[in-house]
Amino acid sequence: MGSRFAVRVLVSVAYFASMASTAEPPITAIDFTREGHQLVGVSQRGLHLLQWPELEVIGVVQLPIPNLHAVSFSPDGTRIAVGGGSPAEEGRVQVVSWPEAQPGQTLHGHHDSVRAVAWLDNSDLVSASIDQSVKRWSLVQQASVATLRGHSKSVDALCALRGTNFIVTAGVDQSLRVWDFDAEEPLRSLNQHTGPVHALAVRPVQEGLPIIASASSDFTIRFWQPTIGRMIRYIRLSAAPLAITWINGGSHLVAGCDDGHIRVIDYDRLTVENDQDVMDGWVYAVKAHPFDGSVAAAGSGGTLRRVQLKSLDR
Amino acid sequence: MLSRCCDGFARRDFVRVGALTAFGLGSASFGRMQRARAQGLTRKHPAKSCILIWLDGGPSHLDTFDPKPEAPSEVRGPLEAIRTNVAGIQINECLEQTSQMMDRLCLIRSMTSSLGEHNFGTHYLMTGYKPSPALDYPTIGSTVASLRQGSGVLPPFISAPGFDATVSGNGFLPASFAPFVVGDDFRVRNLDFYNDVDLDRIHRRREIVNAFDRFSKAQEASPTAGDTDLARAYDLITSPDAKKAFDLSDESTQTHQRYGRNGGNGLGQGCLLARRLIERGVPFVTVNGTGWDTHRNVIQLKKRFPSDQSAHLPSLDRALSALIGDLSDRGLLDETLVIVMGEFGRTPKINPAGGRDHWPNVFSVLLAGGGVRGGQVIGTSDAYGEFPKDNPVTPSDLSATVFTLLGIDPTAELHTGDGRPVRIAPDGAQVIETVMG
Amino acid sequence: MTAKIDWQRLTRRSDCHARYQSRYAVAWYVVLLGQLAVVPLKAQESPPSRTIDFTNDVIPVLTKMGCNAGACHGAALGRGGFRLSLYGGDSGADYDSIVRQVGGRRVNLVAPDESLLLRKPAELVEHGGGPVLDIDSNAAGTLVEWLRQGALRDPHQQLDRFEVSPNSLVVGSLDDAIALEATAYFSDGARRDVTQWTIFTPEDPSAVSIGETAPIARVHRAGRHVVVARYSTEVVPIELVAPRDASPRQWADEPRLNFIDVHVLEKLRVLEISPSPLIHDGTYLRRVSIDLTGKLPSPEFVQRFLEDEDPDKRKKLVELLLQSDEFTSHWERHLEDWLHFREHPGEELANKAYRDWLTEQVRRDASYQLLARELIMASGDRHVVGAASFYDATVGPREQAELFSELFMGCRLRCANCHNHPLDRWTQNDYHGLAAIFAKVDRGRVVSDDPDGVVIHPTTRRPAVARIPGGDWLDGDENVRQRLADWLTDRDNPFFAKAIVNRLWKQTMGRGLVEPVDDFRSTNPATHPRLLNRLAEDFVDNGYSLRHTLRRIVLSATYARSSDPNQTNQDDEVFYSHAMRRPLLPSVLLGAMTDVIGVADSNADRMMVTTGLTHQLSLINGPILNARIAAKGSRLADRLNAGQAIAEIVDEFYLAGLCRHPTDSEHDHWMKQAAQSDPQRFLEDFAWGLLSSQEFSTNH
Repeated sequence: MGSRFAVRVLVSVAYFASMASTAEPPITAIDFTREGHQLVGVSQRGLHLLQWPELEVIGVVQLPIPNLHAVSFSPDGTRIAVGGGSPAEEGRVQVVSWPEAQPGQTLHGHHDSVRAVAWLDNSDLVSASIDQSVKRWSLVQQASVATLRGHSKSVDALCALRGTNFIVTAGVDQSLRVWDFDAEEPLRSLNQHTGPVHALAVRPVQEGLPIIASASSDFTIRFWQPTIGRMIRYIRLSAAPLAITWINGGSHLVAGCDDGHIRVIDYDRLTVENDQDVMDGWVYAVKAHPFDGSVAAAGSGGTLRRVQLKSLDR
Repeated sequence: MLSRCCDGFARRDFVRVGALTAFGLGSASFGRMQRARAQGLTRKHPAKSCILIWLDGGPSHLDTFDPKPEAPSEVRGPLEAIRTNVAGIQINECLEQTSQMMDRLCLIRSMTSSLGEHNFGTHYLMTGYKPSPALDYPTIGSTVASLRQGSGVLPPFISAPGFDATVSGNGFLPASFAPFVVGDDFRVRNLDFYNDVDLDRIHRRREIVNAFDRFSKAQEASPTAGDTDLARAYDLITSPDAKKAFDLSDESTQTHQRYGRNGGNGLGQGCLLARRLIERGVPFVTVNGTGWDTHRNVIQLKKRFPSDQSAHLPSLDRALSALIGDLSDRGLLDETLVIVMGEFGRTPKINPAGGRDHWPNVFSVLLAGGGVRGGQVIGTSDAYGEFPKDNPVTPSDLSATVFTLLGIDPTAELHTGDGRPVRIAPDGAQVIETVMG
Repeated sequence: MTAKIDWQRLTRRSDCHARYQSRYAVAWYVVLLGQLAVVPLKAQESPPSRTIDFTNDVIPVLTKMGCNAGACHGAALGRGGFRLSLYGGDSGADYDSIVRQVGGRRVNLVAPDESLLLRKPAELVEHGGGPVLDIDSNAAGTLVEWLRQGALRDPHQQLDRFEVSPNSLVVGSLDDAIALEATAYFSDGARRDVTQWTIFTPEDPSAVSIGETAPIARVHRAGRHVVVARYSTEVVPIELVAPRDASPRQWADEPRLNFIDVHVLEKLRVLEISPSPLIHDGTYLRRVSIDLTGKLPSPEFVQRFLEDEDPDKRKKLVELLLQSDEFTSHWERHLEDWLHFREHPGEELANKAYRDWLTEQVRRDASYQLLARELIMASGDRHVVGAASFYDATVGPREQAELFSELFMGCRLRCANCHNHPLDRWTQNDYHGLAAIFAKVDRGRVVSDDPDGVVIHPTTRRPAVARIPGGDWLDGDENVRQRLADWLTDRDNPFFAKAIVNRLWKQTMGRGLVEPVDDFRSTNPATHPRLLNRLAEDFVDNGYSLRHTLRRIVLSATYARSSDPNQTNQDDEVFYSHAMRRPLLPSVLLGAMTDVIGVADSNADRMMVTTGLTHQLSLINGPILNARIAAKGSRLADRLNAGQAIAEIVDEFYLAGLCRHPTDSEHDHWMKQAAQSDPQRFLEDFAWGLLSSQEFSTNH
């Protein structure tokens, strides 16, 4: 039984709060700098940079990519990988230096937009695309070093299992796939979901086998031990979760949903501890702040919100 | 499984309509059909007859003629692909004998329809027309029957065995062109005279019925239907040779075994009977196989234990290869068109029950004999067998092609009871020229 | 370390892709909008000034282009990963699909012209459906304007009403051009000509054609034709009637025995179809006996009826038939059929209880209103409570909802299982809401309420909320079956009475006023809508009595028309200008054969009345007739033993099988035949021929 983390949600500061309208494109992915003083987000306008926790806009980097879907800081915090593409034409990953916000390498090769990116270390990263493939890139070699094929539909989510050679991918074909980079075929395919899978998140717990959460249009979040191919448990929500992030050392998971709510899920008890309406439209991205216990949520209408989560126990 | 459909008839409706028309009293007026004149036959030596092997329920294209060995496991399915005697063409592992005669077979792998419901799909494939509330279309077999007299006294369109008819068969054509249905045991009942009823009395009885119908003006209302059935029945029971066509005991044990005697829903014996009927000049025979609606456990299509005779794929393999081989041995293949098809394909992704659900977007049809150029594949499906990748072929196109192979101009017209002209194949249907040798 | 950004350096680099905006949010925002001003698409109509509405403007464009048809993205699984609701039935879901799914990539709110929503259908990028959108068209203009306005879904404007003009028309002559117009009326009072966004589909394209470029209809064949007009989620029928060229006729002389004749003759007059003459007593006797009782009258009865000179003898006959036991068992079988009653082996007690209950309802002419109520509300042990077996006819609540809607409402709600009904008002909420009512029934041997029963709604993936079809949502605590029964059997229920009188009409007239009888919808209009209404009112006003409505029908002149067509009506199959020849139901045919032959088949079940050739072979060579015609105790054997004359025997067979005497020429014909052979053998063959004839095996 995990610690009771009854949550009080304080919805604070909202980006575009004064001008929020559905005419603004959605913010589809977000990430924090390592120190947590800034937040980056992507939309069709480009790469948004904001101060945290004020959500004061620093600026927007326009990139020559019409649709942006993914953003991720490198482990050392010196680079941002931005994934996106021209719909139905091509997909790419744009590397942007930090803090200079200077566009660096562009990684071409996908035939449709990139939907997810993840860093393996400070020079290698992986991207997942609507073109059904997953590519590994080396910034040193400035090229794609491997292409993983096996998904039969768009690949929308991916995560790397740190300390292993494994990554897990998932998408519209409703399956999760576990890959070892040395093998061409997926190691295993996890097929319990009955709807497209939108998001994956590794539980930040060191001991034991790695655990990941997957969020799907089938209204469920499922928890897995991907290295042995086991589904541990699942919880059914009352809306489809689109994005997930672990908080509080892995005791809870926050899900952004397609009803504009975020839901806080107790991992041990498998209960929804809190259900909070945070915006109109869809919550496309949620991200736990590295230190301050709050969560950023982004979505339709270019909305960005800071949500403070407080334990009643502590 | 009784399957209800969305915007049209349930199966029982079709059965009812079928029963009505069988008495010659169907919705369209009776018997004033005019035969279409096939203008300018497109082929010099058209096929004389056609055997349609109907795989009822919708056979999985991925587990028969369009395997995807390169696809992920949930698309590839549990069954393997094998090479055929034509380089580059692979088919399902269970179709071993068939694979060795690929050079005589033509696969269309880019069939596409929008009707993923049994009744509708069956109607579309069997008639070439999408079902319409305004008109009941005839199946290809009935159209052929109405244009071909056949030779001898056998009915021109025979269905062996009968199946849960989801289409009324003759559609707006007179009931006499509905298929003559052979029982599940491949025997035709009541072919022999009853006790002391001899030929003379049967002749007199026929005259008496005709007199009744004449007096009651029933003949005016239905000049062909009842009378034609009656006439055909008389012809059939008075012809020893015609009766013999249905006598499968005439064939050697070896032949029975070659076609497959047991299980597998009777495809083997059906094909054997079809060959005997074709030999005697019947223009169109449908062999019906059931059990292809594999919503669960696709793997059961394969032999499950060494003596398993009922698995569908091996049974199809035996029956089809025996039929093609036998027709070829007897020099009948060139004049007999063989079609293998069902109402749609099945979902590329294996479902949680290990089966596949309905998928009309792309599926496969096999053609052989009758002027078809073997050893070729027409059209391809995409990487996971979801949609046609090139050369999409609709059921309308297929019907136009089949009619052309049979020497019937698909643009010629039939006429409904009230005189409306209806094209044999729908307007816009394209004949797939590459099918022909 | 705090991130520091070198603004100066970044903004200096004009050749760089990246560009920074002002540091301050508001100022930056304004600048940004200015810089992203969109280059308009070339040559496009001047944008409409009003707000483009997603539901009422965008979806009709998609429908008109065919995007949301069943063959394209409207398929249950969508197409190419993009799914729309069938014909735009669910605009909320469509909005999500277009604007929100896949990270919102289908619309580009920064550069609207770059939206996939335009580039795909215009095939600027590869499109599986080919090019369907002309970038210069009004359709493209509407989509672009909507995107520029921010791709909003602001349901400020509800579609109130959709009308077409004409909605019913008697056309002057064939091939005349008929201009079709469509108008939409909105909740805010707005009214728009939506002709260009309306799809006109003739039910029979060979009878009515619609111009490719303009909505001009032309009728090519005489008769009544229906064109379905679709705009947004609305579908309405247009009835086009083209009369035949017929000779003038004295319509006033035609008998009008009750309101049925008034309505039917009015339609025939408009169509200029002459009705066939009325039938003689013998034919009437045979027809009405078969329809009401499923039996042929005995030769003695026929004889008496033919000789009876009472002017009211038909009325008296009908009363006699309506009160007979045969009526009860015949109509009980119809009810069994309608209720999908199946005999379950091993369930003899339940089978008997149900059958007894139904029989009792028919016997005492129970109100159909109460009958329906009792079925819906049934509870208890099926071995004892017959009506409870209503819940044994199907395998689950969804199937029960389908049975309920098809029988009691005459509607096919089942279409709304997977998607809203494409041709009707029914939604998935209606279907699953009705199923949710039946989910609250424990369907075991003891039928009872099950408060915990649920069905899962496929869209919400949660238990469906119980709902009256097209009406109120029901609270889980209510007695939902009671609410359903109250609604259904309410006097003003628009479905209940019409659905049953239409079935009664079909059983007696051969074709429903609405056909198929379980497919009532606005786009499948009745051939005689006012007659259907009148029959339903008459049924309700007379205690929901099945007998009453049957009596009305069979005592009309319309019912008593000859089945022999004339020149003008030979092609008519729907307007009742002549009676329809109908094959006897298999069980009726079997019974009729037995009655004429005079001995029962020892194994009646073995006779399968099959079709065509198989049936003929069974008659010719099978035992069904051959074994019985001259068997001991048969009519023929008895008469021969009694030494009756051939002419008398022939006459009796005519009365028994055909309800009439032979005509003089028939008599002469048979006598001549009989003289040429052994009398017994002739009579056997004669009886065989009669039982195989069309006149015997049909109701005409």
